Amino acid sequence: MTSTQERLGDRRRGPVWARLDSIRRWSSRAPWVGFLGRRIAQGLVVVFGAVLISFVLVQLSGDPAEVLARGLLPDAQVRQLSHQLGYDRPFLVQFLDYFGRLLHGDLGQSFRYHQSAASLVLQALPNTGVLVVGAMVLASIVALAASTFSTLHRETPLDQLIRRVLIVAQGLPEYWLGLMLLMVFGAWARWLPVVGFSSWSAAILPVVTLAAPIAGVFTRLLRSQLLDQMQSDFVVALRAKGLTEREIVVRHALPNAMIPFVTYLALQLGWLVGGTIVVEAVFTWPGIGSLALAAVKTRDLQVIQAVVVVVAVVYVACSLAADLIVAAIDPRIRTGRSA
Amino acid sequence: MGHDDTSNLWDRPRSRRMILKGGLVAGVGLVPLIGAACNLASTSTPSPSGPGASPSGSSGPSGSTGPASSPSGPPSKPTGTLRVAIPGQPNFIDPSQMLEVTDASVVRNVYDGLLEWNEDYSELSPALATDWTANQDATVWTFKLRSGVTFHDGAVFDSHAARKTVEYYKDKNWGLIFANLASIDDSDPTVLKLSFSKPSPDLARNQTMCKMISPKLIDANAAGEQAVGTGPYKWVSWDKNVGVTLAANENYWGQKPYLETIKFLAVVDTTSAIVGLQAGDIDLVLKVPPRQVQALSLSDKLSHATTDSWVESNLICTTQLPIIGDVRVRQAIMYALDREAICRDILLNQAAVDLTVMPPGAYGYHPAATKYSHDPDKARALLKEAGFATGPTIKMAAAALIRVMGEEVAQATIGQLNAAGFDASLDIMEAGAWVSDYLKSNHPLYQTEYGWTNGGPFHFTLGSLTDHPHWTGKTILDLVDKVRTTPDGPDRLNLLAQLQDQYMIDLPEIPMYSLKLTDVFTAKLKGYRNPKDGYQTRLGGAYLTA
Repeated sequence: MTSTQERLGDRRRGPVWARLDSIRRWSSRAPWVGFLGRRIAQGLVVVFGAVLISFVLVQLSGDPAEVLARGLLPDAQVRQLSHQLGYDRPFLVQFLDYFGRLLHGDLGQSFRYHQSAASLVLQALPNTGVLVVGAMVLASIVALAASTFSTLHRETPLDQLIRRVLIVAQGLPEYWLGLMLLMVFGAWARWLPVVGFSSWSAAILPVVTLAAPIAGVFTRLLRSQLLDQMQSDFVVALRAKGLTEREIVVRHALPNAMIPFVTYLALQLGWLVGGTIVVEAVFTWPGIGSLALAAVKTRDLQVIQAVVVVVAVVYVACSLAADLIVAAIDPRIRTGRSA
Repeated sequence: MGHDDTSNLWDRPRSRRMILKGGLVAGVGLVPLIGAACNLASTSTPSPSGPGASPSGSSGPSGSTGPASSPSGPPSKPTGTLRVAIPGQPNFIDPSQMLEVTDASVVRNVYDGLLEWNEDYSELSPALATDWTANQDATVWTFKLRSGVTFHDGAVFDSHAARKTVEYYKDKNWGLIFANLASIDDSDPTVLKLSFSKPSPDLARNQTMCKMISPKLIDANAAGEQAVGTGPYKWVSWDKNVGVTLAANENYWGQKPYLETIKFLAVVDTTSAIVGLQAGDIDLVLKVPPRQVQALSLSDKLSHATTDSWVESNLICTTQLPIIGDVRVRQAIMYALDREAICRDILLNQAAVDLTVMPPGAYGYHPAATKYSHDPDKARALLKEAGFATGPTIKMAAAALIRVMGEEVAQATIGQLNAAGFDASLDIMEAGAWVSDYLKSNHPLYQTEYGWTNGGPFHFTLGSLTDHPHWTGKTILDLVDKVRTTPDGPDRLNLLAQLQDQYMIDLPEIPMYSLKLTDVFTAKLKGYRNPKDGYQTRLGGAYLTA
């Protein structure tokens, strides 16, 4: 008997249960579908939760019309502005209206820009992508190099120096680091542009600022994985075969150590997309961080919500990608069975 | 690793790998040195502006620095791109809704009003109206309109277009400019006549805030998406995450623009804007804080312009709350504060102590008869008289990152109050949260700033100075009503003097200081004057030298 039959006992199954059972049988023949379906459903719950929480928090901060008027306008003008912007409706009405439109793919319109909030976010997203991808690549290169070096030259003075530098870089506040880089390479040396996305060279300083804190984290993670791998039995066997330490680390240990590292990378990518506000503010970078900051200051609710939705979707997608990568490599994870 | 670590470096066998590593290290080390040498070479060349260039501007005790002369003078046709850092994206480019310097800086250069301020903001001068008169009780205003003016989209500016703008303003933020408007007469295309049911004595001054909008733009209901006016610069584009671009209007009716393009770049962080200025990526930064002005004035590549402004800082007293509702407590606050020290030590003399609640230079300004010096003993005596044997508890709310040196001033204020016997504390909050808190009247004191943008008794007639502190005292309210309905002249000035005298006795709000505003810009920028209203940046006469 199938598990469904066991649960239901011997009674006749209705059409709903029959349908569920057929889905279960189909997904057991294609485990990927079930796995993907579960992950997507979880992701939708996360996105909904993010939308609801951000909506509530912004509403709690007060009527956007009052914030815009800054106490300058008489009450009648403020109420008029509030009505124009639709903020005088009850909270539940506003939320249901918003959510209903969201289900139809309409993220609303920015009252400041008279443009759809979705288009504003999608215009800004690639600019943030430049920083995020650049930072991830730079941090990964540093981590690969530093962790490989550290594994091969453990506890040498240079290894200790490199690790200490990366720990210090990890602790540097982004705002301070960004301004220091701006002042040295922009104002003093005048090597690089400092305001906006005027050219590709303008991305160098913000990418370095974003990469510095995470390079240390990546290095520690990868180094730890490499050192674990170097304790494995297969490494003993490879040494017995006569391979050099460098060949063992680079060709054998490193690929195994990369699996959890890649998973972490994917999660970090999603986190970074929503975490660039400070860097974008310092470098006047036209990404979603700047867009979100301006929207929060002026209570442009539609844009705030659009940013939240997009960032949540990106994070969920990255998380899903990380799971898929791991599941592709380790079948135990996608079937849920133990080894 | 196979070699003796203690052996002399030069004695070790040198492999190709060692040599390559050494070369790489040496190369990386040399790059900054080469770069520094190149930078030194470039900075050692003479400044292109030469010995005849303007020195770094400095302010006198009153008035602003004028535009410095240049041997080359303005260009014969629009040249160059001016990059202006504004503290954020505009919220409203619709002139009828504009509220902040981010809005007004763009609007002022695309639109004209019927009237504008002269060079030093001492009197009104013609703009789209060449002449204006009012009847005796200021209920009927007649504006003679300038002929031969067209909007950037080709629409003709005449009384019909002006009427359309006035009607458009009615339901908007600045509809209050035309409060009590009874009728508009546009029968003569060259004359606009506005009749009011009640006297409107500030209408002429208010025209410096009201801008004429193209009728086509109004019909298209698109004034929030782009700007079409008659101003010296035309709207080009708005990159929503970067800023606004304007181009010269070569058919401008007034002084022809000298700049080919203006880019208003949204730079939220003041430090980033200043670094951008130093790096040469930005040409003009507005409202630079005093400490940074001092540091920047050391550079010969930068200039600054400072002006006394109509922007002044107050503490709103929530007078319906206990403790602060007692006039003796408010007067004690005035005596407890050392406003001169705040202006000198925190604002570095970039502010002047308020002798009344209006800023100097505004129509009706009258230094009040009641003077308050820094006298903590007198403050304690007043508190004792009010029945406070120990310090009354006073909490003040200040908004972060909004006012020039606002947080530092707020902290100094609290310190001075505590030194004079108060039990004062400070809550610094985000600007939006400050507004929400203020509307709920949670704190006895609120730090705020007023821009007297029409150069007259703006915040009296608007009601800010009585509504914000929830003032119910009849004397001041009656005087405000009279000021609202009395035309300009000796009677109005007398009423304003009485009002300010009474205000400084009752103190619904505590006047602190009037700011001197400093804009910093590249030494290549000439002809720039910063606006006294602290709001509408005018770039009509500005130009860039080579």
